[in-house]
Amino acid sequence: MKDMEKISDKKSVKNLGVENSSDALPDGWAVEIENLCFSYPGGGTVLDAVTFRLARGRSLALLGPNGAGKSTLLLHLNGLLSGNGSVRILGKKVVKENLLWIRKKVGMVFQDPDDQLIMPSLEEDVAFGPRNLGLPEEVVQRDSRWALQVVGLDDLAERSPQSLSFGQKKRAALATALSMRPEILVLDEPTSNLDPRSKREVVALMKGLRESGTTIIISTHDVNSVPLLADEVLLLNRGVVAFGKTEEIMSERKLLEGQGLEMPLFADLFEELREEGRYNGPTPFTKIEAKKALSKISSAKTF
Amino acid sequence: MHLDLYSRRNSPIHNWDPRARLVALFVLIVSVATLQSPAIAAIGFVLSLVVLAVSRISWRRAAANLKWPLLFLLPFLLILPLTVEGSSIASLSILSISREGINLGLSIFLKGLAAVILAQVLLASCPFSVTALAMGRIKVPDSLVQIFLFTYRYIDLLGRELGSTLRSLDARGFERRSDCRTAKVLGNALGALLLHSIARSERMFQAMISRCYRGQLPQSCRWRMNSRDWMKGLVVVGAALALQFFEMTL
Repeated sequence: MKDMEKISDKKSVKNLGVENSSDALPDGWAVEIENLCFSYPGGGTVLDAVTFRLARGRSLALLGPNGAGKSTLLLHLNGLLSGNGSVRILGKKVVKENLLWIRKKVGMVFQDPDDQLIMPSLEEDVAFGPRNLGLPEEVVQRDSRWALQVVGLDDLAERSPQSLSFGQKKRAALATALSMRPEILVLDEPTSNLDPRSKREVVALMKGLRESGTTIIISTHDVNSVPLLADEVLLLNRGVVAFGKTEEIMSERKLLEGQGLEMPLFADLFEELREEGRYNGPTPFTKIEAKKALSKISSAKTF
Repeated sequence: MHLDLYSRRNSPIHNWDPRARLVALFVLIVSVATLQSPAIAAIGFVLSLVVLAVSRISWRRAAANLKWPLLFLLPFLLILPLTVEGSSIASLSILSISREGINLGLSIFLKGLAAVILAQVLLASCPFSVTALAMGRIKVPDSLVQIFLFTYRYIDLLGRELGSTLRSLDARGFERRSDCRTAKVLGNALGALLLHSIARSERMFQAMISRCYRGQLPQSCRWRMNSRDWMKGLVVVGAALALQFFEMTL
């Protein structure tokens, strides 16, 4: 219950996220984690009584400083690590007997695409997962082609993954997970080390998948992308520091700065304007929202 | 490292069933590598050039790939004539050049070159993964096939990481000399690279497991040997046996 106490300490974010998701989406839980604790051999505690639930079709951003346990938590969702506590995926407990089923349902995209792209050609890499599942070759081909089209790399199918640019490798790694048609997509820092154009492409991809109803969990430091990508935010620092709706968490300057993070650029600017008494509307997170907020300020000046 | 750069070309070698190509060329390589006579080794070398020509792989590319093997093989050609005892055919000061040394050096040099050229043809005439799958089909243990495949995939990556480690040393004013300090620094850098590669292999294994990998590479190709594949196989294996026969009758 330690984490729940931490959540309730933050008055502004309590009773958000978990409860809201439950009411809004009757399809059930995509991910249920209860009192998850994990330590690496010879190391300190990495995860301390982590508890949260995410409803199907929702997207969650995992935020926290370096070493907060974000990647470790993600590895538990695919059964790659096993700590104390309970992890359930689409209602099934992550235990040895269910691992194959769980890995079919949870697509993982690792932070470094070079860890994920293992085969000599891109098409073989994308087909690696479906072939491991023992799917008929025509299904493997169909799903691989679809995944490559989704990430916009179908023209490069025969190329060696080594010969791709870093941005292309990131998208290729995503295709290797998508080709298994997962219901839940887990991405470890999908926009890290990308140039602005590649980042925009990955964000657009994520948005498309989110709109198609895929449950998405993203670990990231890119606070500006979070409002575009996530319905909910979980602030992690070994334990759950806060969990709630994106707009609520991402407008909490003290909460974020307390974890070595920062507010998204637009939100930060307009919160400052609010503190100066020059703005009193909702916090904008996107360019469109910011433009609306600006026109509200200028129209208020006019009158 | 892109050994299979020419894998999409069209040639009798490229069109050959990968299993038959693997077995037949491997037999030829072993046959060439076990030759003793420099004359027969020269025939083996010519044979390897014929196979290279038939494969339509770029001569320039093949020559470029011989750069490192040549560095390894040339010392045999230069040193053995001076160090192997036997009938002297010339002498330079205290050094004496022996016929046996020349024969041995020439034989090692020629069969080494021939083996490398044939291995190039074998690896370059189809995508690397197809060669790996063919290895699996001819009952090479799965773990060996995977080591072969992943070594190829990651050797380039490790090379790049070594390059960036060395650049970072250069950036901090490190100069490579032939002294203990240089050996120590390079040893530490290589050790760090090794540790990184262990961590990377763990992450890579996790990435494979997450895609339902269960210890076996998925097989997708369905091959069927036709009469041409058998014929090509018989010709190459026949050539390998002929080399051995000539060697025995010489």
